[in-house]
Amino acid sequence: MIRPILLASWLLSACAAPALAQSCPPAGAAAELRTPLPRFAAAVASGGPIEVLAVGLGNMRSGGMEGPFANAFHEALQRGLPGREVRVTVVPTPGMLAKDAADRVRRGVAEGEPALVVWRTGLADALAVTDPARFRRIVQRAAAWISAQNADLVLVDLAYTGAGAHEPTYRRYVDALAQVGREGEAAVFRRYAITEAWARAGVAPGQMAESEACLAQILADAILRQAAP
Amino acid sequence: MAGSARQRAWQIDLFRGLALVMIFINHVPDNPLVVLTSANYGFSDAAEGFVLMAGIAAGLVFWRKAEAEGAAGTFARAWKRAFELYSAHLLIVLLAAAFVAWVATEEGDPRLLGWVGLGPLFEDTAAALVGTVLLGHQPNYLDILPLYIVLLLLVPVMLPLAGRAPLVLLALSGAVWAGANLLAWNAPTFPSEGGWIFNPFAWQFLFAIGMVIGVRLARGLPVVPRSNWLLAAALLYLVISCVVILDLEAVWPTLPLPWFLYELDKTFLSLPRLLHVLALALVLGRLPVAQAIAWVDRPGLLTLLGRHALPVFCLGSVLAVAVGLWRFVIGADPWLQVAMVLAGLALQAGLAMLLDWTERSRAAVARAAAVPAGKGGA
Repeated sequence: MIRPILLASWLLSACAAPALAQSCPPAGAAAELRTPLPRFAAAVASGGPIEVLAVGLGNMRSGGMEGPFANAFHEALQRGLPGREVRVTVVPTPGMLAKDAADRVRRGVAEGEPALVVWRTGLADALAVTDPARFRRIVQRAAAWISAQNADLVLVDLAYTGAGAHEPTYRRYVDALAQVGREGEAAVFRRYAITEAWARAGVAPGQMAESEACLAQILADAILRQAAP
Repeated sequence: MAGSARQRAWQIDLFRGLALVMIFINHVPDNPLVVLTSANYGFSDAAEGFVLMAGIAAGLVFWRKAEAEGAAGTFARAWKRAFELYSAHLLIVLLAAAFVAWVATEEGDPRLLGWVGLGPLFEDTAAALVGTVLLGHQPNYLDILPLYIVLLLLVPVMLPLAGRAPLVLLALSGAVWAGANLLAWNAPTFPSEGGWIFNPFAWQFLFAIGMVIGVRLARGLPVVPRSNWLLAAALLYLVISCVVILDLEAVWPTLPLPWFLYELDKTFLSLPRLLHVLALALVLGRLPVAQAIAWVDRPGLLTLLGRHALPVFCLGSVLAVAVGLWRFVIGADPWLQVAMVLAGLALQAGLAMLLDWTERSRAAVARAAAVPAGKGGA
């Protein structure tokens, strides 16, 4: 009965109202993006409004606008850029494979002309066990296209929710995204590494909404550090 | 001409059966059998074929019915069919959600609840239940039936125009398709935002084209253009589309044109996808492809699947969700995946055979009952 009870408590926490990121556990070096974001930095330096496209960044899976991640991310970016107009357009990709989500990314970029795209992907492909090499190529291709549109890309990888039997499968998609990052056309926000470190240290926020809000805050801070002059 | 129409109806069932097989294979992404499906070799996939043939079948069946029984009864029949599809849709969403909930609980892994976009049903149950009933929450791969429901509701508007003023129907329907693409009209989704995956404002155009073809078939009018130049152009388009799709490294260009005229957007049925399915239909109509497939499929399984498209599609939808998640859980190797997909197809074929047998038995009983009572007596 332990597993159903754990699952039920997780679901209840998922339905809870988004918590404020008051006492987030430290993320350490795993939070660093390692790749510069020159277009976003230029948009910050320009003094005009800053357009950000957030793809697949609703709550953990549904991709809704009211998700704790999207809201907390927008608020954190706005807090970091006081007096500036930060516009975050959310493009939901609920349960969509990267190959399908890539179409929505392209459309969102073509129509919104953002300086920064944040794209959370990989979970649907991991569950569908698509070929990781093909997944990497699809994301790489989209990254090259986004770069050609004069926008920076931050990829957000999967979540770690406990050492299950399928972690090696999830890790293949985390590694595929890391590989895209190493190729230089996208930064990668290592959500899996951060949440795994939290879980191992026993400091993970108890509620899913709180964890998402913390991750959004950490991501926004990391992006702002890359844009700092 | 009636014989010709019957011949066409047989071909529609065959291609509809083929589309159902491809949709099932595609709904278990990246399994080794996916290389056999049309999505890998062109801009459009089996979904476009399915909707075009649904339009043709609707035009053919409802026009004949309207001529025989009058318009009011026919429209009521189309709406009754829409309600049957709605009931079937709710049932398969429920079955899929129950299966996913069971597997996620057994595995103790909440990430599995996100399979095929079912997440909101578990995370935000109250809103997602309302969304499901209002067709605002459509899990991935369970999103074709909601489109089909809307299309059937449109039959009373489309059918009279398809018969009396087909060009007016195509112009109006095409204008709505273009308007949806230019102004991003879409039916809303709830609780997730983003609109229907099969945008009804865009996809109704393909159904309308199919309906015009179907009504012409019902009236015994020619439907396939005989121009060899057009055939050559269609073949060339299919080849170009195949080359582009096979080039995985190609980066799509950005052109100074409206997005939908050159992009491959499935939700909005962009022009390259629409042209692709029409080119494919023209080539299949002109060349003896149906006969070749029927020669390979001697038992007539594809035709049988196509004839019982709705129940087969519903069973296939639930099986695809189950096979897709189950192979993740057991870490199925490629051979086992092939076996699982083939077993799923065998179950669907079994259902079609059972339904066919039931229909034939019922018809035999009806025929026996029609024999005058005194004929068999002393």
